[in-house]
Amino acid sequence: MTLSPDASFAARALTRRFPGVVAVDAVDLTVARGEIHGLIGKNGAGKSVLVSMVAGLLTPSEGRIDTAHGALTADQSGPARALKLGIALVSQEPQFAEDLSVEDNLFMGRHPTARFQFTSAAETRRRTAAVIERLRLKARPDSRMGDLSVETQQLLAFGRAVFVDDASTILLDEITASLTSDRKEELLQLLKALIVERPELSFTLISHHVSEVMGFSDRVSVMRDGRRVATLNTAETTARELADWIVGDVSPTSITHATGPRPSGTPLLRVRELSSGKTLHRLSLDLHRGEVIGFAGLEGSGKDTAVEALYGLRPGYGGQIEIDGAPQVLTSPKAAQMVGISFLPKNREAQAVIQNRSVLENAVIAGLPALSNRMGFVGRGACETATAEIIAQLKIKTPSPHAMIDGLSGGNKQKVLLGRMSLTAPRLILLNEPTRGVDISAKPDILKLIREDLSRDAGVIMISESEEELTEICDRILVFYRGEVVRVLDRGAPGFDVDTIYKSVQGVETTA
Amino acid sequence: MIQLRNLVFLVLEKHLIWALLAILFLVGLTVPGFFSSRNILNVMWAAAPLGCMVLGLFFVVLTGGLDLSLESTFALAPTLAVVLFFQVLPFESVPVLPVLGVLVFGGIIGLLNGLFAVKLRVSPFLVTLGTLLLMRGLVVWLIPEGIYYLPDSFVWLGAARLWGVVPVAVVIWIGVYLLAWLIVERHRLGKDILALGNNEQAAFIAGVNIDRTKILCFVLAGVLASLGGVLEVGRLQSVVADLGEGDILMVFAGAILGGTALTGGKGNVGGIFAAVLVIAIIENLMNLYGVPPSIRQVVFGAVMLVAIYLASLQDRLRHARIET
Repeated sequence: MTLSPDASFAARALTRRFPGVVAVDAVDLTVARGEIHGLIGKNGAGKSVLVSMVAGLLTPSEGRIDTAHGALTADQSGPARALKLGIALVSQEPQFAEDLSVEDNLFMGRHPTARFQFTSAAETRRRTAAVIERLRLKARPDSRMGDLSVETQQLLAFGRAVFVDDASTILLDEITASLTSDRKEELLQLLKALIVERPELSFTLISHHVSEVMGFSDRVSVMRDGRRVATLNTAETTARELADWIVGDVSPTSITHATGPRPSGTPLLRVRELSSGKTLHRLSLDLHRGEVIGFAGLEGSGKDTAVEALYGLRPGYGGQIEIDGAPQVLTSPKAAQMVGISFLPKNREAQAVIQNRSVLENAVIAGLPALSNRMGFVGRGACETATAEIIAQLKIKTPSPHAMIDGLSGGNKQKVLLGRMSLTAPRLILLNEPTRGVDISAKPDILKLIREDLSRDAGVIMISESEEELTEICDRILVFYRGEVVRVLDRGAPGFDVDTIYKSVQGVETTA
Repeated sequence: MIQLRNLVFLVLEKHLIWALLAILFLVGLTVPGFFSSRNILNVMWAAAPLGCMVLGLFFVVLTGGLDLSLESTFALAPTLAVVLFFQVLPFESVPVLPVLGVLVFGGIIGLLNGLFAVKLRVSPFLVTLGTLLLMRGLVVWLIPEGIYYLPDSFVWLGAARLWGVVPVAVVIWIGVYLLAWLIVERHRLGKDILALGNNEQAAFIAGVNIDRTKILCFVLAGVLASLGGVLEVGRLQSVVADLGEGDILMVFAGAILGGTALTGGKGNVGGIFAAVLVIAIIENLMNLYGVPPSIRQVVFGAVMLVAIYLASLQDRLRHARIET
């Protein structure tokens, strides 16, 4: 295999499989020296897996990455090897030791040393100061890393890759997410200046913001479903065209469902002018029993904040929340539960599943007040019955109610949790990414469950990053962009499709 | 005024243990006989063996691990050397060898602990709980009655005084702390230890050899504990079966009081040095005050609780200041 001399790296037939999924499917991608290459696609399109392989953090299942100094293959991978080939990844969340100083973090594992491996403090400090100076940051070499803003940490991670590791192939994974727009502009200028200075450099910029990639890159590659579907010259394309490539051809939704007349009367949930901090501005919505409302938006668009505020996790919120016509003050999860609000957190394993305990215990934990007697002793039989019902109704695949929940698949765990919610007979159900980490085959089950069972006697608000899911089950979709609802789409009305939602989420198309 | 405020914050945040030490000194001044060079040197002499163990634990805790077996290493390493060199082999003619032997045994014990905990991925708590019991058993089995009248060359480190004044043990104690300070603050090894203790994943990605560094810390801990053992044996001029038994709790107290975070990655040598002095002075003051032995432990426990609570305030203070 020959590598053209002006290529920074070339991925060839690069494939990565996970159990049940092909995350990256035979991708060929060449990034040239002196180029800023955008890599864009929806969540789960395979962008991050692709760059993780290039950076040696994931071993390819098949294929290879060629560079001028050698290759990464299924047999030869690892972060140390990637670094030796001049590849450095600046990840979304910088990996730093928070309690250590800036200089110790930048030179972690590679301190300049003098005799007997004693570190050369002056040299370390001088070079750190130079990096800080170059990035125009407000930090000192001896500042504690954890005391610096995420933005500063992110830029320091970038500085480490470029100035300390002296890498020539630099992968930037969503690093603009935590930057202010001034900083973004500054970073872009820096990238361009660096390329002029050192023409052997290349930057690969992963983003799912169309506007950023349009402004930043020379060329852009689009990933969809694990494949690279297009590579375009940025100057010759438009945001609209790019968005079309990203979404692709979408087949119409397979689940049909009846849309009766819009329910009237006092709504179950009435929200007026709900604001919280800088991330959510003046949200208003009405939700009736039996309705499913979807929240769409990018990370930081305010959709998470809105749901968190409704569950009492943002006690400092402003605005009014009424449930069944009664005004509520939701300053804690307990207060939210008292009025019948139930919440499914986004991070299932860390925030919802009780590891090392049985399916039964996981299912009944929230319903224990109803299942125990006045002394607080839990009725064993009642728990068994309740769990058996959940297992049967949600078709949960488990060897027995007493099996450890750890052994279940992601989808079945999620069903147990949804069953747990239904035990408390909630009035309002908040779901943050209910299909996250659920295998493809189980997704329709879960969506059906939400549509047909959970929303029967309650109102449901569901956040999803998948426009397809939202269009499948929601009655109404609210699109968040920079803290505000920029579009409200009703089922059956024009614009209730994946394409429009995607463009609105990106801020490309906001005419209501 | 602002500067004074900053100074107070600086002391409270980073050097609280030194403030504590100063307070104890002031209390000591009211006790006749405390502030004499003789008494101070004796306090430090008694503190040296504990100091070595605390330093050993310090290294392991910095990596996020722990070593309960240090008090048994403290006893077993000298025991093995005494039995081997004075009872089995006639090596008395080479005076340095037995002492070196102790340190080598300590290192081997640390290496075994480290290999078990790191390579076999057993929790260090469980591994060292096992070796704590095992090694104490070996000591009791080997020298049930203890060994007295050891050769001068073996007890010199712990018993002799330079120019008839300064105990050698105190010089050694301060020496190893200086060396440790250099390693932690100025050496690759120290940087690697702090990095992996803080964020193992980040250190791994940055190319730090995680396993080797962790094992090395166990070895250092073993060597330092056995050094402490030599000093204590010298001070007592004998090896007894319950040498150091129960001391491990005090070792942990010293490390924590000195600002070492049990979660790893955080701590400094100066802090634990001061903490060891604090422990020794509290004990000395109780002696001088004539606190009856029966309630000494109660007083000690109470003082430690207060001190550890104060030490735990440091972090919160820092956060409070950053937020304002």
